[in-house]
Amino acid sequence: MIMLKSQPIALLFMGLFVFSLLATCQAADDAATTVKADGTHAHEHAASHAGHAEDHAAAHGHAPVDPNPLTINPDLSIVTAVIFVLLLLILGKFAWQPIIAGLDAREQSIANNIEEAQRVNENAKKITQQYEAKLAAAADEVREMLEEARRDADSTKQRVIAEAQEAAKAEQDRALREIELAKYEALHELSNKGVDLAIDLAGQVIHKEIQVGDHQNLIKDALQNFPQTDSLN
Amino acid sequence: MADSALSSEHIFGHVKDADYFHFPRAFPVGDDDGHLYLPQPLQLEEPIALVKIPGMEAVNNMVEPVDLKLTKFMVLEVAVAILAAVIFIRLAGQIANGSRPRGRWWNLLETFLLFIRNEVARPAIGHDADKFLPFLWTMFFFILGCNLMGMVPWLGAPSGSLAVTGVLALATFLTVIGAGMAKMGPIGFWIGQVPHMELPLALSILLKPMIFCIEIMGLLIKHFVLAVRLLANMFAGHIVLVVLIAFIGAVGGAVHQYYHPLFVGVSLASIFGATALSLLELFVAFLQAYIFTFLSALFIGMAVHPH
Repeated sequence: MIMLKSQPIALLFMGLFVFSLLATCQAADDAATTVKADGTHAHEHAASHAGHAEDHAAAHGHAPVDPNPLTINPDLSIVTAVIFVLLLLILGKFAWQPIIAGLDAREQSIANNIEEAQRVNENAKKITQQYEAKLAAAADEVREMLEEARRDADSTKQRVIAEAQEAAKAEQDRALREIELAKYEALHELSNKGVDLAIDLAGQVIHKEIQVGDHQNLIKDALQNFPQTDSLN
Repeated sequence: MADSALSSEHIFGHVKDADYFHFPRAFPVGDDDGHLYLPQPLQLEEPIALVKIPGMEAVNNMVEPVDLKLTKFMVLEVAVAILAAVIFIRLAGQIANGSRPRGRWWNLLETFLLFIRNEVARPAIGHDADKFLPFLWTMFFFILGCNLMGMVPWLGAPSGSLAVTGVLALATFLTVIGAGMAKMGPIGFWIGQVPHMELPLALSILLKPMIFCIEIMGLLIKHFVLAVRLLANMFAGHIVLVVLIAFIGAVGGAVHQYYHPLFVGVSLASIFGATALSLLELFVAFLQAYIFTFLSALFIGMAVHPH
């Protein structure tokens, strides 16, 4: 990581180093001439020294360099002005205008995307809320249904039990009633049979041995027993 | 010492404009001095002196005569312009459809463009800023290109010449005046140069013309300083670089031996010093392009919104 980070700086430094070396070639070059000049023409060199630069410049028809940094070359000014205006016009037409338009379009599209995303997000939230509400309602409904089902089941159970109990009771009652009736009828029949038997016996007895005196005793007994029989019933 | 590596001839010759490119003598281009002279199809036989004020030799010497000579800086400026045009017209093709930036080069260029738009133009000018973006962008990249040309060996920085920086400052000045007059009205702009003051009438008549003159001078000086600041930074930086490297030549000339310990020591020190200063110069190249653009935006902003 450190290698990667420092790499561009190292490259830059090396590049500048090479540039400095290249520039140094020139300086060494200058030195070489001086060495040669000084070595071979030491005496005449000193003599011609002062005029050398001017001579050298004159050989090419150029004025010596003016060290004043504030000199103005009107030609260069005019050329600069022309280049700058042309550059402004050309770049303005073919570069800056499309770039400004492109940047604006991108800005607009990003803004639109964000707006769209917010809208969609808002919508999604709303739908989620709706579904959550629906889910809650459904849960309530389910609970209600379960409650109702339980209530139904309870009431059905109660009803079934009650009915069963009622039925059982009715059956029991009916059985009791029937038993009662049977008992009554049995008793009734028994009493009837007893009376008949008594009468038969009585008749037989009467046919065989009844006398005048017996008749009278019988009637008397019967009359005496009358109220007793009544109380029996 | 006129022929020494440290003579002003040599030193200024490497920084100032010339009608030749200067290469090492070992290169197969150029003459015995390594000078590759430019063709001069238009050069006048008799240069025309533009300024001839009697008794003002300093001023007369400052403005060189018109000779229609083709110079190194002109060639370099054309190269900068062509490079800028190629780079940004290509970039425009990529950006035009509003797609997202891809790749280091595209992102780098966009970072410059957006920095100048968002951090320079818009804060300084306000809501009209985008109208001045083409001017500011052109200004920034032209100056940056000119500054960076000075970092390439054997070329030079056209922005180290008052003729160039003066024209650029003039362009800002004209833009400032034009923008101000378009916004405030041709007369309103100039009246607006005098700040609003509650003054008695008599005092107002006396003071306001004076303040007006001072303000106009201030306006001119501001733009002149704009030119000088860029010039001084580029010129001085390159002079220092040349001097550092010229030590090698000077020592070589004095000791007459390439293997002399003094020569080796000074050479190494000079190379490392020049490398370090080149880093500084690289920073200054960007910084000065930024400052020129930022101040241009500030002046435009002040003209468009005077209060």
